[in-house]
Amino acid sequence: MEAIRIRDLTVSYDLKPVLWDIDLDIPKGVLMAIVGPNGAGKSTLIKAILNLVKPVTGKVLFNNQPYKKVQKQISYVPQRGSVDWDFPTTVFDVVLMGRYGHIGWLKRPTNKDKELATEALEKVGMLDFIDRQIAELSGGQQQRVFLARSLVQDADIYLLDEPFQGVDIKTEKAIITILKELKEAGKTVVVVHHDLDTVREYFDYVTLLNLKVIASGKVSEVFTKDNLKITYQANTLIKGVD
Amino acid sequence: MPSFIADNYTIIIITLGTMLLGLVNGVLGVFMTLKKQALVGDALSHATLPGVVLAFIFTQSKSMIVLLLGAAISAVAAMFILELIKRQSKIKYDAGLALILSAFFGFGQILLLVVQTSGSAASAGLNNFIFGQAATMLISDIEFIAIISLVVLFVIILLWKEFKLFIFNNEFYQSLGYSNRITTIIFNTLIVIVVTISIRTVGVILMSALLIAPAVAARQLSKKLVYNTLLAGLFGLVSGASGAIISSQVTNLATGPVIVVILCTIVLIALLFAPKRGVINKFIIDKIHQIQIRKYHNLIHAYQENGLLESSEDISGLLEKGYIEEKSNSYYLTDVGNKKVESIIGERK
Amino acid sequence: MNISILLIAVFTAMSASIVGVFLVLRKMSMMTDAISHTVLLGIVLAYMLVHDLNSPLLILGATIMGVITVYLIELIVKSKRTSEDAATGVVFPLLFSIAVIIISLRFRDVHLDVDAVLLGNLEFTVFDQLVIFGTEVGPKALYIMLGVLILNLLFFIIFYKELKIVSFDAALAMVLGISPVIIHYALMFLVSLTAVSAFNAVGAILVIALMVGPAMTALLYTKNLFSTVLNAIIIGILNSVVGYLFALYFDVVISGSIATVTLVVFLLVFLFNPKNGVLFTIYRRSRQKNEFKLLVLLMHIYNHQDGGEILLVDGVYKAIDWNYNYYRKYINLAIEKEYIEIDSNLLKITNKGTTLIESMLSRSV
Repeated sequence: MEAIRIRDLTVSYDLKPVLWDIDLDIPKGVLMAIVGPNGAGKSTLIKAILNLVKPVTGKVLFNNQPYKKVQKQISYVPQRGSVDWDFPTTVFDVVLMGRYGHIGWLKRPTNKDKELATEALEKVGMLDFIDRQIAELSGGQQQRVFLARSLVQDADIYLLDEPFQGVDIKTEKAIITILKELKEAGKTVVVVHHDLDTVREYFDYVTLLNLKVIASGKVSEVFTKDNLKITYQANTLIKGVD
Repeated sequence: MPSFIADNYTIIIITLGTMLLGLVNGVLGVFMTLKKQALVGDALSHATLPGVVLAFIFTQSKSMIVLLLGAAISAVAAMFILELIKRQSKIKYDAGLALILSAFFGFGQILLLVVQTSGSAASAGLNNFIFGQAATMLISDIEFIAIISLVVLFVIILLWKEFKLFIFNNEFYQSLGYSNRITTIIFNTLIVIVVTISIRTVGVILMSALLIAPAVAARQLSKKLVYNTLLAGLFGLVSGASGAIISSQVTNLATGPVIVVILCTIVLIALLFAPKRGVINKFIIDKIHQIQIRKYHNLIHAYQENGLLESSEDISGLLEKGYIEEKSNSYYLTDVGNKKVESIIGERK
Repeated sequence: MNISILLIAVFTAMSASIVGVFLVLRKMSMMTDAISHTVLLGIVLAYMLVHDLNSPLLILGATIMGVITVYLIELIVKSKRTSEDAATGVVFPLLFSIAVIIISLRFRDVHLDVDAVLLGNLEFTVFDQLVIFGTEVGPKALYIMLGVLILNLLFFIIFYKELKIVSFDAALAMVLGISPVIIHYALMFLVSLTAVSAFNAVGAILVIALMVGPAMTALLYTKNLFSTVLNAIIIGILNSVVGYLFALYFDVVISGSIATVTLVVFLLVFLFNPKNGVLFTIYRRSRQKNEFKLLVLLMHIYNHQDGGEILLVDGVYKAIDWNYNYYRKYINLAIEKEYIEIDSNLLKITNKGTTLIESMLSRSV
């Protein structure tokens, strides 16, 4: 049973299609990269999976169940740029926010929630910064905090949007190590990734996306020069033309 | 009734009222400023004029509740148009605010001059609307303001974590299952409520200061949302109270402007003198830091070069303080010396 | 109908439109709110110097105060301690409050009518006539606004290139040797001057609508800078004429009437403009939706050409999660247009359909 099963997904903004009739199976327990040129719909795909944008057609199923039923098992790490980091809050607070889904409307975080947050911070190596104001963090530190926030959700599926954008090497290595651990633990991890050079090293599965799915599967099988050529060359999407 | 209260009845009433308004505006203002909707209060407050006048025209009553309802409806209409404009991202949101502010007010001006046939009465009415009418507050008005303020504060506390995440990272908030639409409606409703109850007291012009200034001041002093909000509420409360008291002691001095001046003084002090962040404090800290670097530049250089001190004017001084020691005809940094350098330039990463 | 009053209104609107376009483009619309309130302090301070209500120094003082306001706000923003809108919301109430306090304490008896500053009084402008060689040649306000209009027009024409570059790409401006700062403050000076001069006519609060409204309206349907300014001026004239007539007919206050008309005109264009007005967009969407849905259906069939069973006529709708009747409607439409055909219960795309899809694909990437 696939972790995520996407069928015939079409998403458009203002009648301009961004994703055209996507069929995609994401197996359980993989560490998958989603690559493609800018504007190819990668972020949109993630948002469509999360029900943040409404598709024109198509369905997304998780272990054969609709999103609403499994919401609590999915964790989203948005792009760092989507947040104003000048917000008056501490590192700990941000990570704790990851528990809000479990806590629900109106209720307060419990000690257990706070413990989980502290543990997650330790895992990403940010425990020393626990009381730091997020405005004082570097790009890499911000990303780690976002990851910690994701970890406390204790989800089965992790969706990350460009987590390596603008972070230092050390952070990048730290993050990918954690992601690999998640995969080893049986979780499904999907990452929108921009750096083709590291795909082979970091991921075992990859999806090449440009408006449609060009190829998807094991990195060793589908991450080929030909497929990349098709993905990154705008006008060769047509079936059969190379 | 003790004679003190009887003698100063009006002042006490006004002070209580403005205190509460200062508090609730300060608290809500923190969230609005963070959401980048700081000037919405300004726009909405101007936009309430037509509603107030229309309410009067239809009911011929000047009761606070009626006029407030009119103000609220007018504000909601303005908010509706604003949201409509916001969805069309081509049009700048701030331009929409400015246009709504001005046009609604202009429309209100028409209505008001229709209602009050004589120029001076109309002018007085507008005057009160613009500057607030604190002097004519009744105890029933205070009760009303108090109840509403408490309800608003209660809702904010109740939905604290929701508002926090809603503003900080909206996408993530939605991904957790919360409804963006519902949260927005609740938030906007709170804004409309707070603006409408405040208008009559502080007036249109000063509405924005009451919402924004406490938040700006508080932000300089605290890095946690809770403290931010508490401080902002405190600043609003204190300014409201002192503004009311001071203006009552001087004839012909309206309350609103005094409150604003007090608030902005607090902001100025916070901006300049906030620990670490304050302009002047930062300046001093930076200067001290620079002096330290210059004074101990030899030590710092040694730190970066394996502890070997190359040359220095004040060898004896450094020896005395225990920063360096002599070893086989050269000078090396001691542990104490290392720590000293690290205290100046930060630890080695 | 009084021509001079109408002309004052028109000149005011035109002057405001010219500078307003740049304010809107640079996201400085609320700056007009700030400036138009703080000029009161400028007037008060200038009065304290000259003690003469009719002195031109008052206008100068007010204008300079407007520029100082902008400077203060930007100073705070540059210090990075708060956002621009927050800085605005603190600075202008402060300066305004100081002005009001000074007036209350020192100038109670002086006819420094705050109302007049804030609301203006177009109707009364005729009473303050300019007298040359003993004859009344028209309201002073008329000549003041005409002067401001000419000044703004000249500025726009002479510095068009610079304004254009500075508004859209400040960095490029510096490379080309144009100082964005000078242009910026020159513009702010004119904004301030326009606002102050317009107080007579429409007052502080309504000047905002005059500056921002026509610009916003024009930007709904044009992107070109020159065209925007031109359109804004025309719309400004329209708004003031209609507003004036409306005020005459219904016997209401002129300034408020013009401001209201400004908003109404904006909303009308916002809703009904054929290019991207909201109503038109909704209408066009629902028409295009049909075409789009058809395309989506075809795309699905095209994509699954080689997988026999899933193109069962009666099965496809489940796959794409469409309502059956809805789906049937599009199937029939597609057959009608010869994009697909049904062959032994399976949907097959025709050559015509294939060509359509492939042309869509190469276009949309």
